[in-house]
Amino acid sequence: MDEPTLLSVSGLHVRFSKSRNLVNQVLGQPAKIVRALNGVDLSVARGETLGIVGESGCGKSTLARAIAGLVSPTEGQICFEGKPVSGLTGRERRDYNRRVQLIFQDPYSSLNPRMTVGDMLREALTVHRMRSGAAVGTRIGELLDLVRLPPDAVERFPHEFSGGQRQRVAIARALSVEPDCLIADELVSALDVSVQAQVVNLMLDLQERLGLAVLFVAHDLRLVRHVSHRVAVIYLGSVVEIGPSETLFTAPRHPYSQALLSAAPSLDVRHRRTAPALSGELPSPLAIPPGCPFHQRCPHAADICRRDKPELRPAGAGMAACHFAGDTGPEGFFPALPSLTTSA
Amino acid sequence: MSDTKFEAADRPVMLEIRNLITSFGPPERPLVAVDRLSLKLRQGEILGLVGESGSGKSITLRSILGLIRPRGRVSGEILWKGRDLVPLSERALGDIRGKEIAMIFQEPMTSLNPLLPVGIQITENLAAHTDLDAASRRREAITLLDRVGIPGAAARLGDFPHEFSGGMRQRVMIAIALASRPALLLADEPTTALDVTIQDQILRLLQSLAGEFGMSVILVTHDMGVVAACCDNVAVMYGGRLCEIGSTDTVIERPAHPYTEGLLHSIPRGGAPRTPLYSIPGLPSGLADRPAACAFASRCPAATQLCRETLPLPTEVAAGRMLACHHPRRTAEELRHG
Amino acid sequence: MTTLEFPAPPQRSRLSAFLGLALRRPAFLIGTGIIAASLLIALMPGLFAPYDPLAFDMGAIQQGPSLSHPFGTDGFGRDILSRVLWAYRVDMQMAFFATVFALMIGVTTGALVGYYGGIADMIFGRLVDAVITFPFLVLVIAIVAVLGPGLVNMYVAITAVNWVYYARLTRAEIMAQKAQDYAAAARVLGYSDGRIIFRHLLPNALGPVIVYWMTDMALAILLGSSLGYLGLGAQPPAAEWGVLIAEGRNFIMTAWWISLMPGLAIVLTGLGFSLMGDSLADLLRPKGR
Repeated sequence: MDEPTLLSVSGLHVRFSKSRNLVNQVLGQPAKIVRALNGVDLSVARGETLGIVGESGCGKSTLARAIAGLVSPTEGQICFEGKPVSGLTGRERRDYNRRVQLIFQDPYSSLNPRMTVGDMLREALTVHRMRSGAAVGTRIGELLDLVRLPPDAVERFPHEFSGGQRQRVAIARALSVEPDCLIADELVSALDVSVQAQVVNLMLDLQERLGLAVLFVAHDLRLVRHVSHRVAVIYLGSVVEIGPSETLFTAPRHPYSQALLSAAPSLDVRHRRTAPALSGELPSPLAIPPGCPFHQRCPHAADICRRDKPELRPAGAGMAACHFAGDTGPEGFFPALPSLTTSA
Repeated sequence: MSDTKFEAADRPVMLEIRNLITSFGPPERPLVAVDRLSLKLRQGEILGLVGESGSGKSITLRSILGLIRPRGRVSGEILWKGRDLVPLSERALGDIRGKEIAMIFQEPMTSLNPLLPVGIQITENLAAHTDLDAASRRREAITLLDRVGIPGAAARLGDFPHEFSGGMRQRVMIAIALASRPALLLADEPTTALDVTIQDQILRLLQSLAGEFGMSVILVTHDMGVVAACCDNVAVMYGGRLCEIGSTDTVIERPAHPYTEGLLHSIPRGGAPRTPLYSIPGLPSGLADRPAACAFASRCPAATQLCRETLPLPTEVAAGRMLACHHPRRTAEELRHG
Repeated sequence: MTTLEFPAPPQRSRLSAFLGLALRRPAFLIGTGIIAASLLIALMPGLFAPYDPLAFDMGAIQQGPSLSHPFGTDGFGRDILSRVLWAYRVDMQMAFFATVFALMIGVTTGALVGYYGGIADMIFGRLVDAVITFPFLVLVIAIVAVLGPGLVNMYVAITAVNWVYYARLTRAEIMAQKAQDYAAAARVLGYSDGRIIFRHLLPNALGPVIVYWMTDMALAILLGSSLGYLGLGAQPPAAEWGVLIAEGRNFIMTAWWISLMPGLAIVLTGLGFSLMGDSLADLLRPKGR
């Protein structure tokens, strides 16, 4: 991407303390800390799609919410157009809120059930003074047209729409404030496959037309590969690998990326079941192991992995956080798994 | 997988469904959820049942065990080892449920008793369906948990369902289902709520159980990837009716029904990144306004007047390949020889 | 590129859709009918009452129900029917004023506390604990005893205790709504807290509160009557159901109608509020959830 960086995240940590019950408080036991994000670094440029993948509980939704301002970072910084967001106040802060929009996974709970589509769009337009007077109505029509909903959707309530249509309403609402960056948190995972394609096509089209930066958070790897320019793989609240989409999917460097990609069901019936299954499950974010967060499940773990947490370092066309990725020739330490390199 | 490929014709047919119709609502204006569905399942076969929400795939599964009673009505024949399950009383079905035919669901938390340790829930099932004594029931429970891949099985017998993670709970659920050594496992979206890495482990587990014990499995899913990963055969449903059945490889490589083709097309694979995905136009029709003719006609690119007037009936177009379409995307010749 | 087919639901306004649903519920119809009739009587008791409720008739003392006095007469020959009808004015007033301020204060406090949480929420939690430890009636009687008897003081006493219950309910509802994605969506859109609380969350949280309010009005009539009976609420000779029952208590064996008839009025009105509240609970739930 030649475009300048729009949004960047550096060393982002988010920790929640689990509430203690009275007995534990009296006994003076310390509150348990959930370490949802542990030093995330990434950036996204105008017009670029950055895919974010990982297992549930890895912190990808927390990352989306932190960037959208719903969760405050414990440490680290989010910079928008080079300015730290934490330093913004008043007008600038409101402006940031407007320019970075989040679309939620569940279109059944993200729309207020008591407001019509027209009410929702009118509210967003007037609160941010995007339009005034009669121009508001015109703009609502334009927005509905943009997401390909019929004009009579204005007077309808969310329950009158199907899941895919609701997600279009959510997109229209996000676009009404003319954002520069869209965070799509599992945008289509609640929808049927044939409807998913409709919504993804709409998003791709709108991104091209409006030059939006998109953070595409999803667990569907095929979809992420299709829509993203670059992809970041998150494991236990850290980015373990980030790089151009095609290289990451064809030749993943980090053993976790390799395992994740090989676990994803492929439609290629001739290549199934060649890689060993990844054993074990994601450790709890309450007790993150020392050293490399992945070492307990990693087939290649060595002593250094149990001791030191690897930093992101250049590996191939991207970056990987593995002690053994990158410095061992063009193919990396671990050969990429053959089953992933081709798909029908 | 291709070395352990399922040899179709050699094994006995365990389950045969003929003309299954499941309907709800008032008898004079029934809402037909499953319409004249027929399929066969052999010993050790994993059959994928694929379709979008509202296609009738889960209702089909529930109809087999009479789980839609009393609101739903079932007609047709469900032959389990040659015996028709449809006319059986709730009590007679109860003897088959959980013993010969077991079922697992998408959300294991709701189907496990939250107040009982999992060990007790497994031994309970063993006590109901086997003549083992208490000590051997305990040993068997440990073996089962071990078999489904729960580390430190003996130590976890006393744990409650909430102490397990989602993937582990689904395994516990499978262990309970397997306690009675069922000959058929009905799995309703067993991995939809799980991550791909866990899904992968569960699917492998199902495959090895089918391979080793000759257990048959019907796997309901909306994900063609899951089907490709572990099913021998696949049945595609749309609007309560069967579109086509065939071996997984041939259906995925040579789909004949326009709906199957559209479904496979809309999954991104191999195409140029960031190009529009194929999407089937329109929306599925609701249960109440389903046409008497082909249900897919309104969204189908190949539909003609014939499709809007006459219901295409499933016919065998090649060995093991059923198809219900007036205008298949491939000729019978292509289907036979690839 | 994408064709969208739109299932066309019948075009109806929100009000007519609501009425359409409401009219199909007999419980709602009966409840609303009772309350509407009660309100009408409360507004114009003179129109329905055959006699002056305070007029003595020494020629007709403690007469049983008859054609000329359908509910009978009391120890001063006053017509019970007229007194019960005139009492609607006081009792409906009680139902409303004893609850509406508690509703307003409670909903506002509960909404703010539920949305912001933190220290305010902790203090509120302790306050709730403190209030619900005492039996409701005992606490109200204690406050009236300090302020002195009378209707207005009774309203103050009931409101002082009752708002806590509204606040507790609203707080729980707001917290549940706050966890929904649409609340987060409103924050992402940069809406002010006030807008989020009062325009987005509260309309969705208010359903159960309204239903509780309906039942609470029935309870307020019972409470008001009890206080009237004890001589702490409405003062005789004003016609109020509790006062009327109290007047008949010495004659319950000989002239049962003096206490029974106002008692029936309490039951009927309470039933009306309860039926209306229960069916409102169904009607207020947003569709498609």
